Amino acid sequence: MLFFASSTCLSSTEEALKSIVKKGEYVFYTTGGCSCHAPSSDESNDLSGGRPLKTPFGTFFGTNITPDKKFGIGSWSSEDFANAMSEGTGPDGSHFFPTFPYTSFTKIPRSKLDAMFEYLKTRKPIAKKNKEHDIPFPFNIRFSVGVWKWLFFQKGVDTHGSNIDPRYKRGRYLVNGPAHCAECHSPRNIFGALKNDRLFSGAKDGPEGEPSPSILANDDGIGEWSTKDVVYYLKTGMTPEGDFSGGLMAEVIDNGYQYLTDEDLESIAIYLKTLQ
Amino acid sequence: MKFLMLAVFLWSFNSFAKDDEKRQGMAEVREHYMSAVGGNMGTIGAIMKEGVKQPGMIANQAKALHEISSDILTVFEKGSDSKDDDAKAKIWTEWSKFEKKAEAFKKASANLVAVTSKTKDMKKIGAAVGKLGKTCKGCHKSYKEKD
Repeated sequence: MLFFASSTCLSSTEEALKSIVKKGEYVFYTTGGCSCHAPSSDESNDLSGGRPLKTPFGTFFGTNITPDKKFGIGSWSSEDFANAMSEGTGPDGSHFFPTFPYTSFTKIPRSKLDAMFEYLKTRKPIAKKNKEHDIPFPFNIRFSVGVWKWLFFQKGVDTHGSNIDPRYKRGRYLVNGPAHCAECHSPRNIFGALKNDRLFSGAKDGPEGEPSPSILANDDGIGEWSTKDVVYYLKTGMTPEGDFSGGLMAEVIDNGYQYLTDEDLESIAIYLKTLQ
Repeated sequence: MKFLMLAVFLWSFNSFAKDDEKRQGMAEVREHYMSAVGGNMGTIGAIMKEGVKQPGMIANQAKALHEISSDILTVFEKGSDSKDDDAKAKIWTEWSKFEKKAEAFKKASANLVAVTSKTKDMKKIGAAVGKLGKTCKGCHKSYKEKD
C-alpha cells in the first residue's frame, strides 16, 4: 500500500516536472531560442557557444549554456540562473556584459525563468570551453559594467497597465522582454546603452556588425505590413515582398519565434503596429 | 622603358575596370533575378497567409520558380562578387557549400511542383511551401547581408 502510494506520488512529481519543462521550452522559444549561444551562424544551435558578436566595443563570444557541469551552466542553481537573466550577474557575483540582453530578460517573471532553467537542464551537455571575449581596455573591466548597470539598467518585470487590451499587453511583454527586439533594432549611445527615445528605429551597428532595420510602424519600418504579414514573417522569415531574412534574424526565427502560438505572434504584431 | 611601364599600367587599369564593370553587371542581373524569385514566393506567401484557396495559382508560381531555379548558380557565377549587392563574399570562398544550398532550392521547388500536381489540399501544399521557404531562408541566413 505504501509502495503504491509512493509510486503514485513519484509519477505525479514526474508529470509536474514534465509540464514545467514544456513551459520552459516555450519560454526558451520566446527568447529566439538563445541563438547567440550557437557555435556559429552556420551550425545547429546546440547552445555550446562560440559564435562571435561584433560590436563597436569589441568582439564578444556566446557562452556555453548547456548543462555541462564544468564548462556550461550544469552546476548553477535556479537562483543563479534567475540572477543571470534578471540582474546580469554571474554565480560569483561578477557582472555580465550587456551584450547578453538581461536588460530585456529582466522583464521575465521568476516562475518562467525557473521553468526555462528546467528546460535547459534537459539539453545535451557539451564539454566545450568558452572563448575569451576580444574587447579592448577599458571595456574589458567587469567592474565598469557595474557602473554601467547603475547608470542604464532598470531591473524589474513589466506589471503596469491592468486596464489595457490583454493582447497588446502580452505583445508588449514579449517584444520588450523575452523576444528582446529592441536590443538589435535600436541605436545605442556612446556607452552602448539603448537610446530610449529612438527604440526600434533600427541600428547601424547591429549584432555581428551588420545593420538592423527599423521595426517602427511607419514608412521607414513596417508601416505597410499588416498584422498577418508580421505573423507570417515571424513564422517563416518571409517578408510581404517574398524576400527572406538573413543573419541572426533568420536564426531567432528558426530557433525560436516560429514555434510561438498564433495568438502570441498576433499579440507581437498588435504591439509592434502601435510603435511610431 | 618608361613608355613600356606606362603601357603595362594602362593595360592593367583597363583590365581591372572591365572586370569591375562585369561584376557590377552581374550584380545588377542577380538583383533582378532575386526580385523575380521574391515575386513568385511573395505571391505564394500571400495566398497562404490570407487563407485563399488557390492551389492552381500556387502550382503556376511553383512551375515558374522551378524553371528559373536552374539559373541560380549562373547568377552567382564565380568571379561575380560585387560590393553592389547583398551577396556575401563567402559564397565564392565556400562554393561547394553554396552549391548544395542551391541544389536544395531546386529540389524543393521541384517538390512543390510535384505536390501541387497531385493535390489541392492546402495543408499538404502549405507543408511543401514551408520546405521551399526553408531553403530560401537557409541560404539567406549564411550568404545574404542583412538589409
